[in-house]
Amino acid sequence: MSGTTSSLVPAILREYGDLTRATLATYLPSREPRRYLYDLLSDYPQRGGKMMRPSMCIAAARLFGAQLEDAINTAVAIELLHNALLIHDDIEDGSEKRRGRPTLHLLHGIPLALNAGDTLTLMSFRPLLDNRVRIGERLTLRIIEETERMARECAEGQAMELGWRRYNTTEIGDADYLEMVLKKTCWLSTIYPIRVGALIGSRDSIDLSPLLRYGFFLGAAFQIQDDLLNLVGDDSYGKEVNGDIWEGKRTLMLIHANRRSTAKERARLSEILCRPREGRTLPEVRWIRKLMDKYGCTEYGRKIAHGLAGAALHEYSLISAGLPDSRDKTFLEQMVTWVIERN
Amino acid sequence: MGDRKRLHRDDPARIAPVRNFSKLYSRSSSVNGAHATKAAQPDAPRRTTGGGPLAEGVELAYNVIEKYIAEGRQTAEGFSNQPYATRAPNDNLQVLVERVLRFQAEMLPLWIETLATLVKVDPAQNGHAPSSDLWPRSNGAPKAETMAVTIEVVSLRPVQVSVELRPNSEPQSLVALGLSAVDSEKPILKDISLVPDEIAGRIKLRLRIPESQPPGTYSGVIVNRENGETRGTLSVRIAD
Repeated sequence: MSGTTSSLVPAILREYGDLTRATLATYLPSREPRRYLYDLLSDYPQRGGKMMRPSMCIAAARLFGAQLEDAINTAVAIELLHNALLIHDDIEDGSEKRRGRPTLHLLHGIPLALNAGDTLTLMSFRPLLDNRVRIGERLTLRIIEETERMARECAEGQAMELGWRRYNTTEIGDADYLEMVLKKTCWLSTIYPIRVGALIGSRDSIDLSPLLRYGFFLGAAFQIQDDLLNLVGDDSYGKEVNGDIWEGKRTLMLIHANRRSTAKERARLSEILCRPREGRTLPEVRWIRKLMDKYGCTEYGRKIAHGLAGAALHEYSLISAGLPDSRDKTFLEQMVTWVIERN
Repeated sequence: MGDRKRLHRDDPARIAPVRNFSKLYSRSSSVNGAHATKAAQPDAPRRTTGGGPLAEGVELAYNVIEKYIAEGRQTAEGFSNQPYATRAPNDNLQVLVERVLRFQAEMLPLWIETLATLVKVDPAQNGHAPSSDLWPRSNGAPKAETMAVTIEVVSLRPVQVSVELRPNSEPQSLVALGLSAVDSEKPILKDISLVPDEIAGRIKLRLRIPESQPPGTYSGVIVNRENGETRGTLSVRIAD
């Protein structure tokens, strides 16, 4: 394993991402009502995105012996579902920017955006059902079972985070945060793509538990890095800088700040966080950001992310030990470094 | 007591409970046939001495995921035990009948799997699937050709075998790597051979289960010995 990410990760993300996008386009209808529905469905996918999830699915499938065509439909389903959840997340979080542009609900209003998100979710099942022709009924059903589990885990994780905000829960520890991230982020972002990829490649003949560990450590490192970028991101960052503080998101850095604060600081923090986003002011957001600096929260988050990346590399070395060397094998290894080095 | 020297035990290597994440590394095992030997190698993570956010964070994360996996296993066991939990077997005949029924149930998937390899599959394109010329096939073959497999198992216990072979595999080059269990303590299942039966036009998979082999599921890959390419998977479930 090299210390830094080579050009392989961006190259494969581009290659598998382009193929996924091309196939995804065939699933998006171009009929009416375009203005109120189908144009909205293609909006987020057309804005770009890293294509990390479908690429990991394809790479895992190939790593375990499948051909690319065996995994492409599942990769498309993952990307459709990811975009559906982004629309819903943006509404739930009150986010203003997505991939450098206004969020869908700001452009079209919440009802139309919500409907577009629902439609994308349902449409993600079509490529999964089309899997029958290529990989057979049994594997198709197994993938749908995994999809059902992933959707349930995601909903539970999202509920945990939204509930903490809704009821201004401040007594949250790092373990609570990691459990929430495991469900909300890791299942869709890393665990599910790798597991269904491995299912396809191995024809459902391997134990998937070790992939759960790798996917969790990788996904958690990815999420913490994402939260760090939200605090220190530059112009290339596609979302609103300090948006997580505005939204009152319980990130690892906010949890650490709360834990290290004095009683007086903690009381003020709680008072600010209990209000809805529009009730917070810019000076208050800046105060929270300074509090994070005072207690070294970004450094703390960075260290945890790096530790989790190390654990992910270790778990991956166990998974891949007996598999033949390939681009996909190296890609899945280098993804670990890539998630914590990206900006 | 005189000049007798007092017996003195060496100081213990550890004087406090091990609450370090590094001990957890040993739980994992490979999913593809190789055992988890990495932990013993120099580049594997070592027990940390200083703690700090990094080590504590990793320890915490391991605790979270191991608890999560344990809960999942517990739930799964709850489901899989249901059919057998309805009535406690209280006589030997009952136990025997249940074992026979279970054996039959376990053998059924074997035959389904075996027959599946006999069927010639022509993967037709569906309306939505991309055309196959977007990607070069790894084996360069335009049409998939599957191969029949005869399975010979020598075992004193019921065994379920699942074998999946990629189309267009060359029978004379196939080799099955050792099959391993999730529990890395269990020995690798090694006595496997893949022999081409050119007269019958099929491949013969021979498998011998040692008497001492612990029950459980063992899996691994079938590779082309010429180029190391993965050509299929093999999974064996040994009953209690």
